[in-house]
Amino acid sequence: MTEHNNIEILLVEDREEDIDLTLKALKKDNFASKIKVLKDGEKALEYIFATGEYSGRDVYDLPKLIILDLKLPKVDGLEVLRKIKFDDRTKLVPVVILTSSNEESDISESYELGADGYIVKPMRFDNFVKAVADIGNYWMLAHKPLGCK
Amino acid sequence: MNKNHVPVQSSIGFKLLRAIFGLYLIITAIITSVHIAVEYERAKDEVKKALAFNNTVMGQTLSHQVWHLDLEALDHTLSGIIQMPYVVGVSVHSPEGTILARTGVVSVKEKDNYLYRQSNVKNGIDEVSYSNNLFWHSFELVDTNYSVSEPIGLVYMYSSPSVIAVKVQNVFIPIIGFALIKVFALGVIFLYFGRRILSRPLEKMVTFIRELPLINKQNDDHYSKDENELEILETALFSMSERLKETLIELRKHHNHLEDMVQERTKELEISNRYLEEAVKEIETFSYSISHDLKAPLRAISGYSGMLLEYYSGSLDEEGNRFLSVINDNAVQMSELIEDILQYSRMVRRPLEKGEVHIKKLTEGVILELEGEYKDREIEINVKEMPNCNGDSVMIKQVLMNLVSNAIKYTGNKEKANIEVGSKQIDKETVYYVKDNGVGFDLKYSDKLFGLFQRLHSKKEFEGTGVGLAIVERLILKHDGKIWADAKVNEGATFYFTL
Repeated sequence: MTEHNNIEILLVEDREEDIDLTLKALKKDNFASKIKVLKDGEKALEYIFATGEYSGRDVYDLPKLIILDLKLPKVDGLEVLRKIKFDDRTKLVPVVILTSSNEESDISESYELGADGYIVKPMRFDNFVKAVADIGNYWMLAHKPLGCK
Repeated sequence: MNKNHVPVQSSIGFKLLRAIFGLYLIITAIITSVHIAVEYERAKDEVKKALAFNNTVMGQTLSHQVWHLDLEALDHTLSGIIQMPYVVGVSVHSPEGTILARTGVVSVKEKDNYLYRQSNVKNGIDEVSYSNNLFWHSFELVDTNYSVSEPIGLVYMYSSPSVIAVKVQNVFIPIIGFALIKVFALGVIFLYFGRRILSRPLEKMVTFIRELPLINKQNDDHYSKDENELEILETALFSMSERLKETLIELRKHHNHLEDMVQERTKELEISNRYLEEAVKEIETFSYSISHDLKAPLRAISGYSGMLLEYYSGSLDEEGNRFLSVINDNAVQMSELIEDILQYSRMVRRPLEKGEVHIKKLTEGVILELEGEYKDREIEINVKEMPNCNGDSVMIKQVLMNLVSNAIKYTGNKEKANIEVGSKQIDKETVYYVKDNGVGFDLKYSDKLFGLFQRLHSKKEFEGTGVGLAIVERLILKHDGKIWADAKVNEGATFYFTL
């Protein structure tokens, strides 16, 4: 199915509960009306680069923000990040890593690949909401994207 | 008899001296003999000359007497001649061969005989002996008037070796005497100097050699009686070289054995190392995945209970809300525990990397990082001058972080918090300390202080899982240092450590 709508936020996350929480948090402050959820790395790449299942898409129909988990089935989060940031067509889309991993290696690797932010998923719901709100606040509202349509 | 002495006869010194002495004797003997022979001949010559002299002296008289056939006068003359030195006999013969007159010892040619008979007429008795050792000088008598050209007679003047012997005696004796003296002197010299210059040093050398430990002790008792010092030396050196060869071979064997052992040990160590490395890697992956897989459901528990509180608190009464809070709190607590365990194991696994550590700078950095913890409070942190130390800066930073954050945490109940970080010298050792004026603790429980998850205060009073000090202790121990604490309840605590 071809989608012409401008998706605002792409959320790539495999755990249902975490999806639930994140969506609730995003909707709370109403940062975006159009949120696309994908549950593994392969689908994410297909969507972003308009291949496979999503070949009908326009590649330049980019989301305003990608929230990316690291531990994904099929294709790993870091690999998705690398592909997005290394492609001229997609590298300007802000990608924020939202993961449970607090490991030095993951943090440094993410920034090396060009992540625009790295948030460790807080435990408490209220903290979680705050963290997501901060992300939303900044990337959707406060910051000026390059070349808005 | 001292085993170490070489019997005199075998000694090379003795042999040398003996050889020289012997040669000298022989040479002296030969020379003396030659000298004597020469002297003898000389004497003989002199005698002959003397006899010949008589010729001129007595010639005329004798020819006159023979011419006149004056036998009596002839006899008288002969008895006069015989008085002359060296003459033992005179005989006057006619040209045909008959004896006209004779005195003393003369030799008479026997008919058809080559022997010359010695004949001595004494008191009318003719003593005859056979000997060839007479020698004579003969001359012809000639007519004094030279009227007849042929000889008229033959005179034989005899002399014997005994005459010469007498003559030579005077020369011989000094010659032989001197020769003997020379030989004797040399003998004495050899005896004295030989001993000093040869024998004693040789003796010392032999003693030394025989007491060397390197000589094969088995041959000790079989010193050949005939060995001279040089042969002893040769045997000793040979024996030594044999021993050295043996030792070298053994050394090489040992060396090879050691090398083999070293190789074995190295292989064993490599295997152990590999196991350890694998084990460490396994733990790492294990703890990494554990943390992720455990935290996810916890996040769900906490999140959903949180959402309930957020969106459905109205539908629940106070107690219901409290239940939800409890669920939430416990989920959070568990996740914190997991994080702490992870951190503890990570810290403990890390290998020590030693370098120079600027503790003061490190402390100041830590305080900056912890700023968030005490933003809203009245707090004074005093960092004193501290000497640098040798250690792993990452670990030391963690130690300071934990201690300072503890200090900040446990002074939370005081209006003004005073924290001091410094060092002092105790028994020539540098002791660092972190001091606070917080809630302190009862020294009674000080041995529980550093236990993993051990806490001396409840969660309600102060948050924390009790892993901070356990980590600190492990890190200090890794530096072979010591850590201890002093405190008074409600007055504060001081943590001391050395590296």
